[in-house]
Parts: sequence; structure tokens; C-alpha cells
Amino acid sequence: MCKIYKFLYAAIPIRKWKSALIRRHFERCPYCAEEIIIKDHVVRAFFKPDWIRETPNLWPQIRPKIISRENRPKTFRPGISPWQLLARRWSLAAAAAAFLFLGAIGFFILRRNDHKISGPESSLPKDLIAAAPRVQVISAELGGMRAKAYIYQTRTASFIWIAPSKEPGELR
Amino acid sequence: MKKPFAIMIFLGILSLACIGAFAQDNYIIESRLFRGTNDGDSLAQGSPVIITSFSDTWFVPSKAPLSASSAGPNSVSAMKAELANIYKLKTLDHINSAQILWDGKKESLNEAILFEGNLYPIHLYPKTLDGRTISLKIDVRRDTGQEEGVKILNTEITLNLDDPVVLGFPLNGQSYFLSLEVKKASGAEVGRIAIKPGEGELNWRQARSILPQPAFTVTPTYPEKCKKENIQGWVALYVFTNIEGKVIRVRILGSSHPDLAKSAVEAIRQWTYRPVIWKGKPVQSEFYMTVDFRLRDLNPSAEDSEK
Repeated sequence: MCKIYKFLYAAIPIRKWKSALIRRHFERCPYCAEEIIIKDHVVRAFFKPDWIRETPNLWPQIRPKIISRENRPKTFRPGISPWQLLARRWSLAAAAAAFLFLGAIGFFILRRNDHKISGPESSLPKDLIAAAPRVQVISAELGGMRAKAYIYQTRTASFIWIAPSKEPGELR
Repeated sequence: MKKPFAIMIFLGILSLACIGAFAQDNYIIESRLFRGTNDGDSLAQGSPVIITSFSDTWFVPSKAPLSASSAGPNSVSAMKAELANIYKLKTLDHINSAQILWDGKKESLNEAILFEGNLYPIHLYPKTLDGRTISLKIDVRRDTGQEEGVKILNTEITLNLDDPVVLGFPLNGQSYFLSLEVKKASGAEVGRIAIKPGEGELNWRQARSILPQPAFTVTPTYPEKCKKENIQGWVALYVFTNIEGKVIRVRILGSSHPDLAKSAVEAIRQWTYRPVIWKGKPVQSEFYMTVDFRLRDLNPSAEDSEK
């Protein structure tokens, strides 16, 4: 059997999902399908229905198939005990869960930092952010030219009047 | 308990924790535009229909967008009274209001106001600095059909949540006032307008992030019946354009009068937009639009009575 089948068998902890995935794999993988067909032929060759009285040519029929299968390079490594398979399966599941958890935490931390600190529009000094007045004018332009800003505040709102400046660069 | 079930429960709790961690605050940026004069000439009669388009917005469709927050110390009428008092204005017209939804992440919010034959795109670039302070870049232009348009106002300010800022600036001999207030949006209020996804190359979130610029506009006619009966009102629309920029579908989200809605839809269906280019290819777009029909400026008492 191919490696995908082995992986599905070892990695999926839930039997129902495992069976469905393996079945789906068998339907699509030509190598596994061929294996199944050969096995099916062998089983059918050994099976003797009641209506067959004599089967003198049985062995010559099945022998080439068995020999050809035996001579193939073996992809499945025998010798893994069921306990080892089980341990591998659960360790893979635990590793996947841990990977997901760490990935989510890392992504969340990166996103938060990116959102709060960096960004294309960030041009404010940190001490200005820390002071946190009601309103601050960082820059002002009218018609593409530098402008002055006059701030008047009431209890309900801040009023900023932006007027053309005759002195370039002036901001108040 | 069997181990597979334990793992499933563990993964479920992990997923919920991640969803909780990623959930971010939503904000509403409320903008209002006013125009004032010192000489006493009323400007309201010149602009009976004002059209505002948004790429992202939120408002309560059961109420008029203009009067959605007309109560309290920061209401339109209170703001007008304070503006008139501070700047000694003889007349002050409320041009439009917009409540734009900001998810705290998006880099720009777009609004475009069409009145008296001119289109004014307003781009807001918000950024949270800490729990209460927001940095806001504001870019106001007049659309000329060219890429850049005419620059009117470009400024960057910091403001606190729930603390309105009014930016006043002169333009063509008149005084304009752009009021901005950032509020936290409660989860229940956000997304009350249910929009079905559109078909095409973009999903509806992407399509809504673009506000196309109109190439050909038709101002809705004020229905004669409404004029005679002195009916003013609003229409809220959701507009779909195809890849060529043609309006292919207009959905009415709400209106204060059916005749106003009919007139607005008839006009908007004739609009065409400049094709929106997304990753080098023209794409469809979807956006909100409000159409305000006004026979006269709303004085504070008339406005409060509309609630």
C-alpha cells in the first residue's frame, strides 16, 4: 500500500473519519486500487462455490498473481506493533493541536501589535500619544498649501478653524 | 470519556478562545457637513437634493439618516446653534450626515457628497492610538473627473472617543464645517442592514470596500406631489454596478416617502460610474447611498419635530 494510506491509518484518531478518508483514497489512488483488485482476485481464486466439484487448474491460475505480488518492492514496513501505531497516532494528534494553538496565539499577538503601533499612516510621536489631550492638530493644508489651525473648545466639542497661512510651515 | 471526544471538546474550546481573542471593537464615525454665511443669504434653496455615497456605513433604516442622532447635546440642532454662536453666522445649512462603520482595522473610509452639481469625495484614514484616542487623517476634494481632483482640505488630528471635533474652513467665500465624532459601536447595532452577497469576481466584503466615482449623474426630480404638500425626506439605497460601471441594480433599504424613493431610484438607475479596477481588472462594486430631499433648510425646531 502507498504512503498516503499509511499516513491516514496512523494519523487520524477518529475511526469514522479514518474509514471514510481511507475509502476515498482507495477510490482515487490507482496503486491502492490495483492492490485491492489483486487481493480480490486471489480471494476469489481461493473461494470455492458449492457448485464447483473439481478445481484441478486452480493453482496454475493463482500462482502467477501471487508470485508477481511477492516480487514487488514492499512499501509497507512490517514490524510496527499496534501499540507503537497507537502511540504515533496520538502524538501526531497532540502535535497538531499544539501547533494550531501556538499558531493562533502568535497570529493574535502579531495582529494586535501591527494594529496598534505600526501602519502606513502612523506619524505621531509617542509622547504626544501619551499626553492624550482632547484634540491635537498634527498637520493642516488648505487647497494643497500649509494652513493655520485655531482651536476653540467648549464642554461639548472642539472647534478647529483652518485658515490659509501666509507664512509657509506655520501651524498653531 | 473517550479520547476522541476529549480531543474534539479541547479543539472546540480552543476555537472559541481564538474567536474571542480575534474579536475587535467596531466604531462609528459620525460626520456632518454644514455651510454657513455671515451675510444672511440663505443657501438652502439652491440644493433641494443631496446625494451621499458610502463604501461602508451603518445607520438605522427605520429612522431618517439625518435625524438618527438628533437628540442630546451633540445633536444636529445643538451643533448648529453652537456653530452659529461661535462663528457669528447668520445662516447655517446642514448639508448631510453620515454614520460610517469602521471595524478598527480598515485603513480608509470613503464618502462622497453630491450637491449643487459638484461631487465632493471625503476620505477618512482612522487609526486607534490607545483605548480612547483616535488619529484621523481627513482629505476633502472636489471631483473634476481627473484622478486627483481639486484639493480642498487635508489635515491630520487626534481626537478622543465621544468627543466631537468640528473642522471649519473657507471655500469660495463661504464657511464649511465638517463635524466628526468617533463612538464605539455596540455589537447589537452593527450590521442591522442585511445585504446578500453579489455575484462576480469579488466577494461582497471586497466589493463594498470600493467607492466608485460617478462619471454621469442625473439629479432626482423633486416629486410635484411632495413639493405641493411640503414633504421632505430621505431615501436609503444599496447600489450595484457591473464591471463597466453601469448601475445594474438598486435596492431600497428604507425611505420616508414612497414617491421620493421612486424618484431617487429612477435617477440613480441612469447613473454610470468609472470602472473600478481591482488587481488590474475591472470589477463590480456595491455601496450605500442616501438621497435627501429638502425644500428648505431645517431649523432646529423643525428638525427636532421630525424625530
